[in-house]
Amino acid sequence: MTFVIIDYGKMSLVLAINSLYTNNVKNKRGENMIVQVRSIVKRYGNVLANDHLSLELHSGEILGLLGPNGAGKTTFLNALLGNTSIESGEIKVFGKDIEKFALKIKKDVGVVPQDLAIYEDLTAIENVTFFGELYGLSGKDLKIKVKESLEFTNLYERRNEFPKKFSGGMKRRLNIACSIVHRPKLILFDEPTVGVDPQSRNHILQAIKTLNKEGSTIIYTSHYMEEVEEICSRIVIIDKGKVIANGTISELESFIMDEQIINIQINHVNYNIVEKIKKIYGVKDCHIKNQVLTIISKYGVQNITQILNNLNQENCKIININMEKAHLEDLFLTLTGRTLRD
Amino acid sequence: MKKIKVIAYYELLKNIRDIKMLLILILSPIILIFILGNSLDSFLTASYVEPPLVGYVNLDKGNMSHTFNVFLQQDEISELIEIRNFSTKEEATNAIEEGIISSMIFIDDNYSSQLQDEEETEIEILGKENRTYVAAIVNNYVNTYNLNASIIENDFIPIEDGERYTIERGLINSKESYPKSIDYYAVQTLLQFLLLCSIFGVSIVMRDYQKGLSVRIKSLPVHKHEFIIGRLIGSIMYSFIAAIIIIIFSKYVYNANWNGNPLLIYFTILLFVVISNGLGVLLGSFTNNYTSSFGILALLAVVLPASVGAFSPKTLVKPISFIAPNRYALNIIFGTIYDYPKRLIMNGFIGLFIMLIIVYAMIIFFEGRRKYENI
Ligand SMILES: Nc1ncnc2c1ncn2[C@@H]1O[C@H](COP(=O)(O)OP(=O)(O)OP(=O)(O)O)[C@@H](O)[C@H]1O
Ligand SMILES: [Mg+2]
Repeated sequence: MTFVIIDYGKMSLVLAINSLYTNNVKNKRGENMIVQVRSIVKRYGNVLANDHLSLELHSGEILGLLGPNGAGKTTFLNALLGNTSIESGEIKVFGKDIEKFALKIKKDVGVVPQDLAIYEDLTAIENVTFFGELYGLSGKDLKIKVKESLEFTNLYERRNEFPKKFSGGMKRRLNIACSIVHRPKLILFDEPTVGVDPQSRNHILQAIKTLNKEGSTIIYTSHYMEEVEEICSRIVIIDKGKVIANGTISELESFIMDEQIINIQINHVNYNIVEKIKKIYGVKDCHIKNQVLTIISKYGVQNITQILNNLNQENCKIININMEKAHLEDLFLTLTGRTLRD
Repeated sequence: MKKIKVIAYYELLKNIRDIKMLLILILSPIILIFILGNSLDSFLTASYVEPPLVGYVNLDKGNMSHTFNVFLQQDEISELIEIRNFSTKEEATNAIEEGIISSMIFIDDNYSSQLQDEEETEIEILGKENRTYVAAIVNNYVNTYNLNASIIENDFIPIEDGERYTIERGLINSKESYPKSIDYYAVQTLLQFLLLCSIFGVSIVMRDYQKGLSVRIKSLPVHKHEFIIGRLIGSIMYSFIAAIIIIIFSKYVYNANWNGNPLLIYFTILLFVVISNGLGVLLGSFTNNYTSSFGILALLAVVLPASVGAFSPKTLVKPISFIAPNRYALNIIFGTIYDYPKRLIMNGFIGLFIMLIIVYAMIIFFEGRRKYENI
């Protein structure tokens, strides 16, 4: 697979590489293409929620869609199913144009919304049955699949209870059960682990892996690199509506392999220092936040003495210092200078 | 079609489980009917221990005053006043002078003929004492008698003029029965609450209060119109069931008079809830906002019923009653219970059908143009 890393801000280059990539894959294995999104633009007033966003998804993949709050992940998923109108761009799911075949496509897609989407005044089994019927299931087939999806989410024992009595994790699991009852070919998970205890979270992640093994292609959005790392075969990072990185885990890792992160806590902030440090050999970037200097530096360059000297010259007292090899989690920082979460 | 059925079924199920809604929709009208239907009676009962002796002169040559005779002979009324008949006005006047009776009720000889000619006619109250008391009782009769007319003929307002009570229009009513307060308010209040069922309609086209649900619903392989129709059918069924419960309760517990053609009554109620739920959808489409919809609805649910006398037969907003679906439903329901002329029942149906067509044509027009993403 072609490895694509996009340098933030160099759009023309990005698009060229992207379209090359698209054509390549399409020719080779066009039938396996589950999602093809080309350069979609979605605006909310002044906000560009999706800014010429392009993306592909092959059958059998688990794609991690990673981005901070407001990056445009939910907007992208909404646009993907035609639930929100877009200003420009092209969206194909299962090789069909979403505008023309929306209903047909939706039959084979499961959506797990970011906000809970279950009826509090219907029992767990009624919730799943209701959505199962609306996905076209009926009779025995409906009964079997409802049972299976409740068992799959560990809710079968409590199927006759109302979600009001459920814990947050159980509600999340019911939210998933309602979305997979019809065995969709494509499942969109929009931050399904938000507000969930670690045990339920693990359960959800394992369930997603199982669904994938059983044949569903998956898009999984999150702010957590570690989650995405755990289950996804490929990761797309978006920020401010744009794709800023796209590749398998090892591809992305190789990108930051030669980097290290140096965190230095100092007693007082001086913005001069940032500019000075940036000029030091090997330093790629430097940011300051809450009296902590974060320096991204080339791995193996012995520049730490020089950095400390500079701090000394500015009369900064060092409270704490730590150096580590860049981890995948730091990729977003490396690309944007910001962290995924505050 | 199957999906519409599924959506309707679950909508009904969800509504039935919403206990608060159930209480508002069924308990409130039952209480209100009781309060409105009994307030006047209790006021009269409490006034006197010994019923005063009142003269009654009825010179009417026709038979229109017969219902008034029936009214005076009722047990409830004879507990309040004791009637002594006189054959001429002079005789009765003398009796007042002599202190035998405290006051008199007088009906002139042209009472029936005037009513039949669709002219005003009067029941007069004369005397020294107890005039307001007697007047209140007569007023009760005149009001209830005229309720029928007020509902059916739009140009009626009972006029109080000193102690003269004017009946502007007569109704030929072969059963010779007229609604008592409880009968009257049972129908009026029921319709008023069914008008409030528009709230369901509003929620149908509004973004779900849970944001996630509207995302899920939009992601289903279901057309927007299937969803709206399904939910509408569910809400209509729910409103209809609530109506049946209120009718049965007021009939067997309050003894309210519902003895008309049941098919006609239930069909009218069904038409009415179809219209009121549709009105809600329309309102939701227009405002796209719960708060303003509820505001407008609260206003409509007071003003429209008021225009047809749901709170009191006297009303200032009568001129707008032609846009109140209540008016047409009342025509039919009172019409079948109290044997009004067929023409009036027909008018009621024509009115309801016209409203139905207007409301749903507008829904198709406005909803058709609205984007799914706004729902
Ligand atoms: N309905 C809307 N109206 C106006 N602006 C919106 C709407 N939905 C999203 N936005 C804006 O579009 C941008 C992208 O939002 P989106 O919900 O897609 O982000 P996200 O990546 O899903 O974020 P989060 O991780 O917080 O869920 C944000 O700036 C948001 O404020
Ligand atoms: Mg989101």
